[in-house]
Amino acid sequence: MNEIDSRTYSAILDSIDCGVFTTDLEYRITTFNRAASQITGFSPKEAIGSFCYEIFRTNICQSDCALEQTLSTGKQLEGLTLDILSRDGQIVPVVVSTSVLRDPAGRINGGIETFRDIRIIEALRREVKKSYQYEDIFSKNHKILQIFDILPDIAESNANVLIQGPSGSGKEVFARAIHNTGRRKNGPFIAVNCGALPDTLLESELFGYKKGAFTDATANKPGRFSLADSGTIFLDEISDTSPALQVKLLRVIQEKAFEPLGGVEPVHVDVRIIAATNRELRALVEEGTFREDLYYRLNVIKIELPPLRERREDIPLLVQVFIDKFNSIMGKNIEGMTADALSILINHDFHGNIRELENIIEHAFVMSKSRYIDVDSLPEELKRSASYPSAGMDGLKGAERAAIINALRIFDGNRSKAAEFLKINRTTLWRKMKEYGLTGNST
Amino acid sequence: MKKITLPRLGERIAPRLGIAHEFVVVIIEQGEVYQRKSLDLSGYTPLLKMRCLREEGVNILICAGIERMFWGYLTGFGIQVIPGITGPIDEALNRYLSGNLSPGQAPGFGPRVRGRHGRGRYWY
Repeated sequence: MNEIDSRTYSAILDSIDCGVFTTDLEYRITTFNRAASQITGFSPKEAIGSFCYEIFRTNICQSDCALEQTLSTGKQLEGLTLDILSRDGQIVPVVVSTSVLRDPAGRINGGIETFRDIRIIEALRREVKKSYQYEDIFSKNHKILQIFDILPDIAESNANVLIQGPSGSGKEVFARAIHNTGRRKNGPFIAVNCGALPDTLLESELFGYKKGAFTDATANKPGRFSLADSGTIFLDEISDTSPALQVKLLRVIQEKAFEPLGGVEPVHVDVRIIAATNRELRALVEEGTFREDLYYRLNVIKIELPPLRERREDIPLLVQVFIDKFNSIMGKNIEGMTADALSILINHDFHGNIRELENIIEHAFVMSKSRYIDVDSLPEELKRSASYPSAGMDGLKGAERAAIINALRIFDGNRSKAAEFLKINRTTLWRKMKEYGLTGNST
Repeated sequence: MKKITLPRLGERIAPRLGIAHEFVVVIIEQGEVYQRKSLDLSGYTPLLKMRCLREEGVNILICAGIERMFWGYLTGFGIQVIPGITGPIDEALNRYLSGNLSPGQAPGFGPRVRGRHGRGRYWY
């Protein structure tokens, strides 16, 4: 390349708003454009001649170098979302692509790396995520979004709350969110699982005991109600309490006082009660197994949580939330999940709800060897149960019908969104729905 | 006695502290290397790695790039951080012992090279 060519070449590179640098086969930087300099904070003078990993400093430079993969396979890598450490110590999110450079004879003689600063995109993504988030609760589901709207008012009030929802649907997360955003946030949050202890033990656990109350009571022990004074007590599985204990709970709510086991003096407490159950408490009242007066005392505000299978649109969001969580706990760098694996999860019925989803992601984290969780990393029973409803149709048509059913299920029957998801025209979707007999209520 | 640590990638200083897997810990007594060992912190979260270095009783960290939050964390615990040092670990140590290793200007201060295409020598 003569001098004029070299200048033109530099001018072209510098006019691009994407960071670009090239390396030789030893990973030493040979060119470094203006945008690369702006994003990384290193001047071309500092960068040229240095090893790229000592300038670019991505989170995968020391373990899974993208350029190394490209130089060894000759294959181009595109759209990797990584972060780099800029010269002034900032973590900058970037999207990176790599490819090879070849000499006139076609031999690989170096690599080229292009990257874009996506700080603005990431900031926008976080803003969007915030609108689907309330404390540690994430959802796009309209029922949950309606709850989000009233949660600040619920938190601000001092009323008792009853949270009803199936096991694993996040009742305690909601209770914590109410506590953390309410007036009592500086007080304690005490959680008790009423179904986990036998009745007598539960009574001493909740109300405490005095020395000598029973054989092993060698000292006074405060109960959970005392520990929760000026804060919140969360009584999970409230429906499992005995009638005798229900009477005591009613008294705490009415008089804000109780007597510890073996005690005669009442203990006064100021506690907000959030109760939760996975059963229909109203039905238990009608059956006569739960006190009606206690039900009305607890049910001042009622929150009903849907099972995860009724909010399938939340599955991709929750998957990403758990991936972020386990990345920070396990020190891994998993970016997401493949479409096939996500499709299996979206079609799964999740009888264990969000807790089951969290366990699946944790399992996948242990098994996954790549940056994206794939089908192989999912638990065996999930892979086995992953069946696509083909309704008697085999092959390509059956798969196409199943894909349409899945898309319609995800978007609650919204054809425009389903068509967009399937990357087909809305009219084509309608035609195929007619062809496969999906125009009724079969989805 | 001084206890120095350097994040390691092969024989060189690892480019980014938070994601370094291995650390060299060197005890200096009377201006000479008294003891040298390796600390394998692979699988630890970045913050846990910093805590391990603190619990190891390290006084000085010589590193290349350092994330701002870890700079604040380590210096807050009284650990002297010498950032912006690249190149072979032994060379950096020798320069430190002979008093020729000066820290970069800020966290993440990078290498400066004379000449092009790696022909020059690194300046510390």
